[in-house]
Amino acid sequence: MTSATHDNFLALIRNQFRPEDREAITLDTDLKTLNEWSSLQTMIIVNEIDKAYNVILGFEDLKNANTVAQLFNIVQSRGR
Amino acid sequence: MAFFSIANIALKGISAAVPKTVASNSTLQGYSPEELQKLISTLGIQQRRVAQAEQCASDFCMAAANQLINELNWNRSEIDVLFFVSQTPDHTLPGTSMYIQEKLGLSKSCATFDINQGCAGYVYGLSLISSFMSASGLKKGLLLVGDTITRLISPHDRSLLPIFSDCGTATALEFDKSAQQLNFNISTEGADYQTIIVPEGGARFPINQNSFEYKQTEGNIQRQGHHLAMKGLDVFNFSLKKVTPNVEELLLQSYLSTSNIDYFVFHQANQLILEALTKKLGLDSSKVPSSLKEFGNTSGATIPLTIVTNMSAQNRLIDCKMVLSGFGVGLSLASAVVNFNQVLCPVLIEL
Repeated sequence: MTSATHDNFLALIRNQFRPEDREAITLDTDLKTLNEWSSLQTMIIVNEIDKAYNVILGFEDLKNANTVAQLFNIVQSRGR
Repeated sequence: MAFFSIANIALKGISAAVPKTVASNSTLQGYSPEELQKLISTLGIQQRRVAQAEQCASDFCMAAANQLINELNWNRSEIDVLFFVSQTPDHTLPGTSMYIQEKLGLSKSCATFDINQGCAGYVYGLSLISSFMSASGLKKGLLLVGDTITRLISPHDRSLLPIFSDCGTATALEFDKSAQQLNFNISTEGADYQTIIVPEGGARFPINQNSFEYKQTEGNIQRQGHHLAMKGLDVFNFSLKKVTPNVEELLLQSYLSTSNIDYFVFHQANQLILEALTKKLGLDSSKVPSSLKEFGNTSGATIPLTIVTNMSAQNRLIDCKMVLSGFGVGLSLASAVVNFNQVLCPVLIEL
């Protein structure tokens, strides 16, 4: 299981969005403001994070995290 | 943990019936072509079946039951017990199982039961009817599991419209002292009862004039009070966290490993969940049949529908060992190890 770093976490998040939108996503981006954000997108990201880091995020986690960096902090605090 | 074994009960046949009316996810309104492509590939659902206004879950279940009774050459007067598992009964009361008993021409001495269960309903139902028959010694029983869940979905709910579909199924069981035992592992997470809910229309919040007002929720979804509401991510997390340990415990208690099982038939929630379960349990995907592409999520009917649509074309009589696992509304979770020994599986009916 990979350890979460800023680089691999940001790459994982970017890969879940359309190629033309990826560059604009940074650690400061609020995912909920992106056009592609939806309940389906949430499920996809939770699944990818689980596969990569063995951490399952809940609805509250995603609600509380305003930026990619805050999401990263939650994943890092729960990872082994 | 409710792990238990039931002896002396053999499965004799499984059949299913779906509506003729096909709804395609590729023509859904309100999505861009990219969104539709992602939606279809993530959910794994291209088409769904939608019941006409005059068709109820009981109609599909009865069509499946008639097919099974005829092909098994069962005498209707010999059917001692009938269970109907559904969340879309014909009426609030009486129960639908009584109506079905009459319509199928079963004996007046047939015991009938209605069970309110959803996505885990097939395995719950199987555990109930097999326990009842095993304890009583009654010889022949029918388990009918079906729903017309599309009736409960708001036409303005883009999160649920692409998922749900309608179906009714029938399973025939017989008391047989030579049958291998059925093993079950059942659990309940009642604290999460609001995760999948129709909030109004029951005794706690009866239908009132405000029930018909559309209310806006997150993601531009509009629902009335009597529509189905689901916290998709919480259901997803429940599936990721709870199903794998439940199945692993079932296998452990049954002295089996995944290699002893021919097929794992999971509730067909969506493709993402199916793939996650397959991976977490370390299964070969060829052991995990799916009916999602053509039939979507048919609630409690997905497990028997998946067996019928994947097995009946190969062989009308199935011989194998399966793990069946249903999970969802409640939240509830039920898995079973079932031996199929010459189980009749006729072709799918379209009504």
